[in-house]
Amino acid sequence: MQIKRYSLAWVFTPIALLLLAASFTAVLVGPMPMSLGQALQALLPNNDVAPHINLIVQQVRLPRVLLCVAVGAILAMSGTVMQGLFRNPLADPGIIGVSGGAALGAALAIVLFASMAQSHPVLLSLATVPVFAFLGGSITTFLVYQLGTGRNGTSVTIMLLAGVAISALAGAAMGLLNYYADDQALRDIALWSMGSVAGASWSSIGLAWVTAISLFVLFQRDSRKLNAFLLGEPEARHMGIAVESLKRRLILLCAAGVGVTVALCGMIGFIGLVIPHLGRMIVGPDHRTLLPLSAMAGALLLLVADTFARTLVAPAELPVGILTALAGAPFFIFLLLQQRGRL
Amino acid sequence: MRILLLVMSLISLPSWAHSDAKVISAGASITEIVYALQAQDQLIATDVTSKKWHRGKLADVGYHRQLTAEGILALSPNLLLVSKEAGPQHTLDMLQQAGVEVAVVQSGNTLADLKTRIKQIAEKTQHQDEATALLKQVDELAAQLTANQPAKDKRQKAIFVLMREGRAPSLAGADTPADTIITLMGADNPAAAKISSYKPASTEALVAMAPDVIIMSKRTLKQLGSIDALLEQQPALAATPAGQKRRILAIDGTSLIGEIGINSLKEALRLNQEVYAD
Amino acid sequence: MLQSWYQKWLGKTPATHNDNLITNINSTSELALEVRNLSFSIAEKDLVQQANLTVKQGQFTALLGPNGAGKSSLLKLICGDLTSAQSSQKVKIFGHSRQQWPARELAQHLAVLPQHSQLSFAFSVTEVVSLGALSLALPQNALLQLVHQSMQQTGVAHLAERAYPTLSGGEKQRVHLARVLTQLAHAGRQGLLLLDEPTSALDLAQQHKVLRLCRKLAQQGVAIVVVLHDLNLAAQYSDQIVLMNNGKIVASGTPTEVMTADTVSATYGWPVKVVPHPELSHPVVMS
Repeated sequence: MQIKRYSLAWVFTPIALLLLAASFTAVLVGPMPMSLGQALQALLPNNDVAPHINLIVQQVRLPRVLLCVAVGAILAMSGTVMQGLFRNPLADPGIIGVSGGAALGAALAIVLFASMAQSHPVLLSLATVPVFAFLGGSITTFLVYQLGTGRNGTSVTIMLLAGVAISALAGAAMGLLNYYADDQALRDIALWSMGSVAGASWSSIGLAWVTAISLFVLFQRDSRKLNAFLLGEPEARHMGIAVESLKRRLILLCAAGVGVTVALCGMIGFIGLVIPHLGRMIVGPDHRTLLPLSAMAGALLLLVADTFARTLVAPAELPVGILTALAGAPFFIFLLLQQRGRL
Repeated sequence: MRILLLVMSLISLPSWAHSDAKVISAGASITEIVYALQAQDQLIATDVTSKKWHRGKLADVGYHRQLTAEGILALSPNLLLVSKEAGPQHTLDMLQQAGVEVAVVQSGNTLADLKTRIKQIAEKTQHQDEATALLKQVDELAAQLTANQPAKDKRQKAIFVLMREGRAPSLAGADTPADTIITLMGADNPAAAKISSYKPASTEALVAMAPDVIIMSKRTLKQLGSIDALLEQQPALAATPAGQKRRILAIDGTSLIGEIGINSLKEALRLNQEVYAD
Repeated sequence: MLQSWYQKWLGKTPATHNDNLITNINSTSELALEVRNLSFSIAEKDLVQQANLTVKQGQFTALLGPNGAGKSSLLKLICGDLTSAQSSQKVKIFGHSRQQWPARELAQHLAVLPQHSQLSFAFSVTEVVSLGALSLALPQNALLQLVHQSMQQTGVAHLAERAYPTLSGGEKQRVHLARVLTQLAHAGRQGLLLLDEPTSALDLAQQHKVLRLCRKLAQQGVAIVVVLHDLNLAAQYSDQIVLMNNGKIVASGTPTEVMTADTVSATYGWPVKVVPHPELSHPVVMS
């Protein structure tokens, strides 16, 4: 089988244009009817558009677009790196336990503080759920990493198994929490676990973008090493790579990245799993091009999914995690069928 | 900017006449009161739990804890009636910023809470006249319930069982409308002392509570077909006094959504009459 | 304490024992590899006992022995896949212990051809070979030229655009050979190539192709250490044969010195005859 690699201009120009088009569409479309001119004008400062249109464009649609782009990119990049690190095209960021742990952290915060917040509203304004989600994700990742690390370095296979075990444990703890939760908390947990970018604020956008850009730069610096890592750990070591510190660094970065997205938007599945696959089909497994492509494709997928989430059942809206799974799962099955002969 | 502020302050005043009021109700117990006050003409949308009253004729803004600013603003309402639990907060903030009045209505399952709710909603929808009649009806129902309270030695033990396909039955504990209804009908809820909210119950615990009356939602009983079918499926229930005397009563499930309302009082009275008929 | 933990997490060990890092590679010795009195055991089982071994520049050395003799363990100790407190001190590569070598510089002088590489991602052959240049810091043009050259040397240039996972075993092995050639491109006579049973999955012609290529590399000055199973292949291509049994080196020397009927029979526990090759000079083992 000959490999046909498209030139980078041919790959990146269309996807950049698509991303741009999707961003504009997302700003133009929504339950609130407005004309193209109004929407575009509302993007400019000192316009003379009606205040409610300004409010919708500037405080609802634009923040969501910006948050979607950063979060989608983080999820896709983390997924790409995880698949490379585990040398397994079926790995996703959840595999190191970060999602399970974050979910547990969030559920804990929802159940514990649901009652307290009635009397101490301060607790809610401290954004306890995101903080707990991030802590939960970090702690489980740390546990999984420690379990996988022995005298002879970190075994990705043991980490993988430990990730499964710790996630199961977190799931069981969630079940226990569900027992203590009241109906309200139960529904909150359920909604949270389906993910949403509705909470976009300028501070969350700032955090997401700083994370996305940092991850991009740091991942890109390690991209050639990650390529060598695909050959196998000893092989990578023989090529002069400090394998242990590379693994530790990438796991830490992925956990931080996914932790931030989970804290900001809850659980959004399938982007980290599907996008790297798609990227490899287009530009091959070279992380130097795969990572930027994944970042853009992840951003695009989440943006499109969120535009549908906002408009399909308007004036209500769907959790975006449901839509990424709805689009992602059949696509993933299609990929598996394609590769069934080869894997 | 000054003009903007002026416009917003004008909009936020509840100064509209009946006809051009556009109200969104987020919460089943709020919607019930809006309908009871005959103010439903002002409604343009409700949350997902209020569909029963308008049978899908009005727009649905989703779950009251996941309200979206744009979806609601697109309906250009001037009043949003919500409970304390509604949110998220940034949506409510944004709606207020856009000139929508967000009225947080009294929560709670006591009669006083219900009456405050009625007064608040009547004021916001300018239906004070209808409120007077409604409050009178509430007072009458309450008086009748008080009058019908059985003597202490005749009080029965009642539990509310929530059955869901393929899952263990759940019991209504404290802080549920079902518990309030049990109390109002003059019975004791043995589960309330042990649990709050709805919790799955073991068969053993069910039998140990020895309820004289078991209350279930109408829909559940209808799905099961008959009391016999229920006892066959849940043999533990048959071992309770309620099962033996076949005192398994149905309640209108919508009276249990959210907080207690007028329908809850009516159901409490009906159950009271059924249980203490003799 | 927090800082040391943080450094540990980041994989940065404080630079204490790196003080004697070599800065001038030209000071390296004539000996490509020197192993002195090296022992290694796991769970009280001695895998390698008191091994002594030297490999000169351009020398082709074969490690032989029955299964479990410790050949692969010895090779892994040399390349650092297995380590112990003493192994790093007792293995010298071009005169310096592994700790003294900066990882990247070492990679330019020491390369390892694995027995088989599982690579489930669809890299093209060119991409796999390019991975060898990771430690070289070459501009794109020079890199492509070098990669092409390596592929031509191992006869895989015609496969350049093929997907690696679709290659046959022999092709894969030659692709990896091209990769390690690329890695050693700047080594000159300061190169050491370790191969762990490189011929195990290959047919007769492919085995000879790979070993002939190694032979050619040895002629260019690269020291070769290869673990082999086939005694006659080893005899045909090696300058030095190291025979191991039960973790010990039982004999080492030229093929003619080591491959006597007595030594081979005793080591493998099976009677053999050794006759000279009818056309070439090396001995042939017949069992």
